[in-house]
Amino acid sequence: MSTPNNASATMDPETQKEMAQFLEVEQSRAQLQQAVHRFTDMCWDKCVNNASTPLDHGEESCFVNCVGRFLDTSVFLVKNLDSAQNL
Amino acid sequence: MSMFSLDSSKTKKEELKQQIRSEFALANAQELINKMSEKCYSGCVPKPGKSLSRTETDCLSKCMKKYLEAWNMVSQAYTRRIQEESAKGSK
Repeated sequence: MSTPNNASATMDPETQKEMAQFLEVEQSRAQLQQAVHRFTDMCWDKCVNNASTPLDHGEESCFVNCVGRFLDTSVFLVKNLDSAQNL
Repeated sequence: MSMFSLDSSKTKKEELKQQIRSEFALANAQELINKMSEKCYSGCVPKPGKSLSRTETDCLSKCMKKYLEAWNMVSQAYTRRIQEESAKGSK
């Protein structure tokens, strides 16, 4: 790049590597949080009848099951897709 | 003055990291507020009037607390699953 004040231009290779690693960690954290937002959104509709009552045990386990079975579903579908391709 | 320039590159690096961290944190908070507003608005304000009533704002406060708890619940469940799967994978 032509910008002389480009940060990477002023960084030694070691610092560049450190920053790349730092960014990778932060990005995977952000990705995880993004998934949690999606799951909470989806499971809220399935598990919550009343928005103003405290989260009770039934709802808690509903959220846990909702996340677990959603992940099972995507694993199942991927396996299915795999075996369907081998037909 | 020379002390400053000695560790100024280290300081710059930490500043940059802090800036990156807060940008990610901001994006995360915005997403949380958007989703929470959606859920709590539809749960607490079924018939929007000229202003929010006391009942509605009470409901919104409770809903906010509930949404955060649910978010943490989901986060724990998902993190646990990822750990289990990676333990399985490494065997």
